[in-house]
Amino acid sequence: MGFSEIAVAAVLFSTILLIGISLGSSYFNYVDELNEAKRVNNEILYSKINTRVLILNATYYTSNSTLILIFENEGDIVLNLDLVNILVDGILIGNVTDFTYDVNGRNDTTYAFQQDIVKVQIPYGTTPSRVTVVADSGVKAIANVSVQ
Amino acid sequence: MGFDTSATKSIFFIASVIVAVVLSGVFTGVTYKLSSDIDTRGSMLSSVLKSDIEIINDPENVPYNATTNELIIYVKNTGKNILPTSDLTIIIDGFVVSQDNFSIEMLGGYTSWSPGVVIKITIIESLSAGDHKIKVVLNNGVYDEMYFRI
Repeated sequence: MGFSEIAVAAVLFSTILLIGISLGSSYFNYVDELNEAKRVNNEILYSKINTRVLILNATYYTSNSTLILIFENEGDIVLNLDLVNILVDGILIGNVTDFTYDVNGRNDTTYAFQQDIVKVQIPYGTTPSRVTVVADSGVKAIANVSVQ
Repeated sequence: MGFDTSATKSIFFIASVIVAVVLSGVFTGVTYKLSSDIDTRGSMLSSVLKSDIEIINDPENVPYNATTNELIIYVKNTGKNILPTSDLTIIIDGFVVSQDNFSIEMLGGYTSWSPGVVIKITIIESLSAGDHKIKVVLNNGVYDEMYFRI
């Protein structure tokens, strides 16, 4: 084999090597990124499927213009009360932690674990008819309000 | 070895190296493009899989002012990515609402649409009494839709 063949073979070999390294690295990055994204997607779906909020009572007291909302975390996901929204008659009025609330009688936590009961006192000027609680995952619970 | 043979070999050597270098350049260019496209595709798929939104309105109690034709929709980021609000597409009853006819407000004092944050979309659209369907689509194609009653 002459010198020119060796030189050409060296150039082509190094090119093929570079192509292999470059494509291989891109492919493995792609697979890694996709696996991570699939894990996150599963987390999102898992959290939606396993969230269940049950409104136990929603009563509006005309004497002090306060809506008392009691709900239970019936799912397998811990609720972050900072991200649990409350809508009254279709209007978003805030998150649970924007109001006076307690979790099983305690007000030193912002999380509601499985089977925990959350009580929220919402000052509200007019008599409401429907209340919606939206969990962190976007799962809703809707109930009619009774008036006393 | 005569001068003629040496010159011929030199010419062949230079020519073959030039051809090899040109081929190598072409292959490297194609590979770079392919590699960059694989990265882009990965980022796009990752963005789709990590994004999720939810329209959180009460479907039977969607705020609508029949005088001003203002419809208020609340959309929550239930994914794991910070989402852009600039390229949202709103479709009501199959018709795209013009960008000029809706405005977006970030609720809770937040400046970006992070996971858990709710945005309020005020849409100017004349709607008749009855059932309607709204679809909110992100720039990466992820969407949520809801039937509601006015």
